[in-house]
Amino acid sequence: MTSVITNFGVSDELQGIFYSLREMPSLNNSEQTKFKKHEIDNLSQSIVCRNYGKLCLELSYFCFAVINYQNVKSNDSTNTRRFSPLLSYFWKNEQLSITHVKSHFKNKFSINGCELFLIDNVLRVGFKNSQFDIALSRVGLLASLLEFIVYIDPKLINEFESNLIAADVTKIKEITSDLQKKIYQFLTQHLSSAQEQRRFRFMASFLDNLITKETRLDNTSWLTDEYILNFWLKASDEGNNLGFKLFVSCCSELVAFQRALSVSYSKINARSSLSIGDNIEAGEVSADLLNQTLIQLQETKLEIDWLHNKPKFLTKNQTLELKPIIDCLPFSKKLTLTMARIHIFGAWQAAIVQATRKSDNQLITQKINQHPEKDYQLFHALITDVYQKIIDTLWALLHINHQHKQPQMFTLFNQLVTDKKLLKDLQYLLAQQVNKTKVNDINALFNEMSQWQLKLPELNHTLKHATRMFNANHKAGFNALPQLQELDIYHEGQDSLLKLKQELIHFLNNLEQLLSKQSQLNKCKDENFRSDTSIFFNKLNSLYGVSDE
Amino acid sequence: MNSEQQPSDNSLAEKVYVANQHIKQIQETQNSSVVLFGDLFAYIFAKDKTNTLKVELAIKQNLNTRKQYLRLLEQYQFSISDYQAAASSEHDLNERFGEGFTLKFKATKKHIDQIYVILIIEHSAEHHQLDEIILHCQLNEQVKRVQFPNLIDGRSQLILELDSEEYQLLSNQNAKIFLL
Repeated sequence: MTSVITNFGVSDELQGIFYSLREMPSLNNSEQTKFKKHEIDNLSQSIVCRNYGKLCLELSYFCFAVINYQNVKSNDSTNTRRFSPLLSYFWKNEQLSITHVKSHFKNKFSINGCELFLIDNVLRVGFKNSQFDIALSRVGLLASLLEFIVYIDPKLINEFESNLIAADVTKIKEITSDLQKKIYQFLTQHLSSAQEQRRFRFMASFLDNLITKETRLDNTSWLTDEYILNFWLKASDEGNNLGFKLFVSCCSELVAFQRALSVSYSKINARSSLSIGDNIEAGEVSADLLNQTLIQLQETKLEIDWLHNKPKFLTKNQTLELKPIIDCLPFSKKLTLTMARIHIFGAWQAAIVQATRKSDNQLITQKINQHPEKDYQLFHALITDVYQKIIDTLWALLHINHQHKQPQMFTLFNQLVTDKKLLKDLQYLLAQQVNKTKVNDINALFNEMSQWQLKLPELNHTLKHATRMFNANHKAGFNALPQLQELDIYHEGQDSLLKLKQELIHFLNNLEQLLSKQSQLNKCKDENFRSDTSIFFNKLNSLYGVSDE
Repeated sequence: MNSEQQPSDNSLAEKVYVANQHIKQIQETQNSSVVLFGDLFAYIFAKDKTNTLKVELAIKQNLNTRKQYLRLLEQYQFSISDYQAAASSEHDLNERFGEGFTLKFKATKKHIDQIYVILIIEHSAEHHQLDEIILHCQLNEQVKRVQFPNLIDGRSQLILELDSEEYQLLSNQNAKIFLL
């Protein structure tokens, strides 16, 4: 029942299409996927915003180019299996990167008064009275759209190949509008907004009942721990079929709601000050504006799931512990109590829900009465521990950067070393070295550093510590020194860990403040926790409790 | 944020919220049942070995995928061996004939559960001599891909288990064989 509701917005099939697009292996290199992550992100954003008109036009022009270019050139191909132009270009040879596109279209080519040539990183399709440019960097995205449409309509490749040969601008536009119709038709069956709309309106009216519009815009004022708890206490009954039964869902939905409000208002304000067309006031939102706003919203996301792959910067459990905090940034830094409640009472609720699936009344009662063992102090200890693990990994990365003479080492140095004097001394030596050599020779700098180690015992000590942390790390990717050519992903991970570190410092600070305030106010140390436990117990009991008969 | 200018309603915010929820569903899904054209292409030309079972299942269960599969095979086949009418016995052909190629089945003396399958192509294409040779067998909704080593002197051979799906299909007189 619940799975039907939560999956209501995007059909299983449409979800499956994007999953398969993301996972599709490259035929040229089985280690890689055919499409890049950002290409599939971009495509899915355009599809859910129904903003695919321009993309379809680009695809039609690009397929026109592939079909007509190939058409004459084909006699130089070898004797083995012959593929039609589109199959050969997009599937057999996968010519999707900028380099591929450049080498494929390297000679200027004309046919029936139409010219195809490369200029400034675009492929230009020039007709007598008009021209169309396709950015070479967008070919991967267009290929993913083609894969998407071919799934919707398997006959499309053959249709394209017969209709686009020697087509003119009118014909290309006609084909494009046909494409758009096909996607539109498909989406009417597979993408529904009704449930999410109801959810949004429920949250909006809940908010309207409590506060005025003025205070709503100030996101710090209303989205508080108290607000979220109250929302859950009410919405888990009233908004039951809207997916507000879980405390954790209420929190993430309210954060998503707040994000949507704030990004939209900032977008609208930016637009109206520039006085750009769209009539937003009257409720008209163009697909393009929606798409841009969505991209802006998505850009702020910090992704940490990949950090537990190889190289294993963190364990899977550690990324899972952090996930609610990271997913709710930047608000989670203020919502420390909510994060603690999710960790403790959210887990309690999840255990009860698990029991209800088995429809075993005794088990349900047992789970409801099994009060959580962890309290807020333990949650603090847990997050502090994960924070320390991040610091440990950063030290190991410092060692890797040092061994490979990477300038990224200095970033880590500044972030990890707390000895102010050492930092100052090192800065002085660095400045001297740069002055002396005039050029930024990183190798010379690192060679010099081994001399400084002899002069500065603290520096020596610090680098030794990094080595020790590296040697103590036996996780995949850290058990041996990685090769120089593998370092890109380590640097990417380093950047993410540094961001995580920054966010967690704020989070932990706020959490500590909260906990010390609680203990000052109360005679009994865990009074707040006990009172919260009883609030949650009563609610969980009323939601899931069964009478013993 | 400028709080003086406010839109009269939540229309953009609502649409952004909805779109963002949809994106979240798409990003979090683990639904791997959909087979795309690219997966099918890789399967047919034996370019990708990881998705084989998933693709075969989709061909079996999904009419559209099956149609697409057959369309591609018909388009890119080098030759075909259709239903073998009036064969010597009901099951287990000793050999079967296609247009310009022959498959012979010989039991091995030592291991009775194994069969030698010999492929002979009369006028082969260059790719048959350079790359592994790909055959697809199809009987109703059941399909299998068989790969032979490249031809030497017009012949190639393979050992299959007697009870393997591949052998069962290749030797079934009602199955259709596509030689790519």
